[in-house]
Amino acid sequence: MYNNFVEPEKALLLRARRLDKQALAEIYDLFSPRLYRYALRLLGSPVVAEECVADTFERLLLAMHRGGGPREYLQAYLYRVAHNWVTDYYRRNPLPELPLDPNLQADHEPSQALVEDMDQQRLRSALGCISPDQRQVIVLKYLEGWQNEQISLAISKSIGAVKALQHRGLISLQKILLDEPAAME
Amino acid sequence: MSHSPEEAYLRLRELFHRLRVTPPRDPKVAARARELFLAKVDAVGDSRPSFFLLLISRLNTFEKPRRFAWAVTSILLAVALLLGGAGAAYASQSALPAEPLYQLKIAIEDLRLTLSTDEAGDANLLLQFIQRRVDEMASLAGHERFEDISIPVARYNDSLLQLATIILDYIERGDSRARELISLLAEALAEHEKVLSTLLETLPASANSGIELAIQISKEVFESEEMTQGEVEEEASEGDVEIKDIQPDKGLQGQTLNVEIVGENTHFSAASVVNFIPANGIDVNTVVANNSTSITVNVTIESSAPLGGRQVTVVTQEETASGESFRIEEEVGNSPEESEGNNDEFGEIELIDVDPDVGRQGQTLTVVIIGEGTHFSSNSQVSLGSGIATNSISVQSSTQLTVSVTVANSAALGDRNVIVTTGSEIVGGQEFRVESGAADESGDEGERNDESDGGEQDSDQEEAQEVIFTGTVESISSQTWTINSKHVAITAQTEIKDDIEVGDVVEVRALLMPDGTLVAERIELND
Repeated sequence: MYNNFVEPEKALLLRARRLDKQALAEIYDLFSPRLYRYALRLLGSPVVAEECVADTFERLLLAMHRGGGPREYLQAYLYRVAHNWVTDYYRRNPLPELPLDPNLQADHEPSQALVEDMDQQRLRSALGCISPDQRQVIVLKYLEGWQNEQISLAISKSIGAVKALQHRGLISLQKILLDEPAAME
Repeated sequence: MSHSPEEAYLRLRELFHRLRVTPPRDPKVAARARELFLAKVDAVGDSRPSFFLLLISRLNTFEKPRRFAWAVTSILLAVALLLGGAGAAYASQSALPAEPLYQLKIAIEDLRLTLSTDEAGDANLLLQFIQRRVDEMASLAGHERFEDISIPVARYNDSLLQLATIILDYIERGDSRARELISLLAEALAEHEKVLSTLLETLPASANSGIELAIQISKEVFESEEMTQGEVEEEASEGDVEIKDIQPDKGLQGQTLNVEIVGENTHFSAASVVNFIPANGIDVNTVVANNSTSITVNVTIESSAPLGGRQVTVVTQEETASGESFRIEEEVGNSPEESEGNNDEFGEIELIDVDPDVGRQGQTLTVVIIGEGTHFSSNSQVSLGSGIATNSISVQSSTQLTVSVTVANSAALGDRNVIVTTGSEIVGGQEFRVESGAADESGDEGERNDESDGGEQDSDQEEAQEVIFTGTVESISSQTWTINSKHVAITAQTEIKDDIEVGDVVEVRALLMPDGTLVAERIELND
């Protein structure tokens, strides 16, 4: 289980909403590493992932400064912000071309490191091609290890809708990655 | 290259695993990022505190001035009555700041507030008082008494803080009056801003600061109230009646067991009726309401009960709670073992997709139903609930079928369960919603979404695909542009970022609708 879905105590969130530095530092320390991994998986670049994390926390801070921000479910809130950031990033930046499946290149045996690197790029590129909602569900489910109930909470959709998005996302990824290698070209 | 579903799934899992592994974060960069964030916290903390922070800082001391005001008010009122009785009190109502009767006017206002017995009464008075303060500012400006304007400005500020306190209290308690009060206050503040802005244009520069402060206060409160309005709506939307949990959520053929159903915003009572849909093979023996959100039902599952999911509903008078399901599984010894560590629902028998899952009254449409672990066949029957007739069914595989349905003009609006029956296999798990036959008559609710700063549209337009392309603008009209021979619809939501003319090369982000229409979301010059 890679996600224990710890929600900070409400008192911590309340203190943070009053811009208590210690509370905000605790929240940063708790969620920053997770958000970094989430962003890195999707973006592939440590620099851009750091940018995503910084912007996510800045938005949280500004929302709280305005008197807004989450009253509960902080983790769901932060992942929604990060998800939106990534979605905007995908929109602003051309999608990387889907690399060939290294396992299909039969003329020589690719190194394990190369295979892993290209696999990562392929999945990342494919995730950029599916709808944002599908992507969010697939990523939270299969990369972050969330349960459907948690995803339902995070994206404000019913569990049935989460399952449907999961199904459609898997089908889309299958088409892009396995059935139609040229789909992105 | 084609893969069996199992091969495809295993390959996808392998890819997921690859991406799950991430290199460690550079500790120096991480430490620097943390420092930067905390520096931003300091910077925000040092800037002018938000209205709500001001409010919070005053909440704890709010009672003291009020008691003090009571004492002062009593003395002033006694003096006023001694000097001139009720006539003086009446005459004071038109007094302006720094005039002798103004203190009495304010004292009477404070007294009325003190005597008010509830928050609603306080709010009404405060709304009157802030209007008076704006009138006073205007009168003072008219008499060129600019030096006294700071007096009503200060009281204007105080009254707004008190109003906001009441609103926050309402929200904390989930009191629906918050919405009404916010609406009234927003209306008043919008009007005040107009008046004060006009004043600002006519005043000498030396007198501007007071009015500017009042405008700033009204704007800030207005913005804060708008946000608060969003929170009220958010909280209201969280008021959906639903079942949040069922424990246990499965039972075996031949078993009798207690099942606890946990609701949210429900009003379970002794009159509640628990339904398992479809009901065949499962009998409800007793129902005990533990409290308004918890109910325990004793059920017996027949040995021959069809396997699969059952939608669970709890009906309490007009209230129907649903949202979770209960499964019937084979008796111990016959149940298939779930693969270790597999928490992704593969292996269960249920419907996992209904597409589209919405239809309009009077509409005939084709719906694709996807199952998992199902055994769809030519014998399968499909039910999309009352008011929806099944015209034909086409089975593509054991897990996919297509059904043509007609939604009656009189079909009740709302969700219903989708059930596919194949012999003894009865499968549910998805819903289909009937909407009004009138096309898109609903206005955009403009749902507030604090965290959507990133700009993602919060819609589930599964049929619409986002496309981005570049091209030359060939024609421009208010509703349609032609770009590279493509007609692109322009709506009120379309963001046109630059001054664009025919002949310019632009980048278009648009939604490709199911009917092939392109609806522009953003158009900008292509650098």
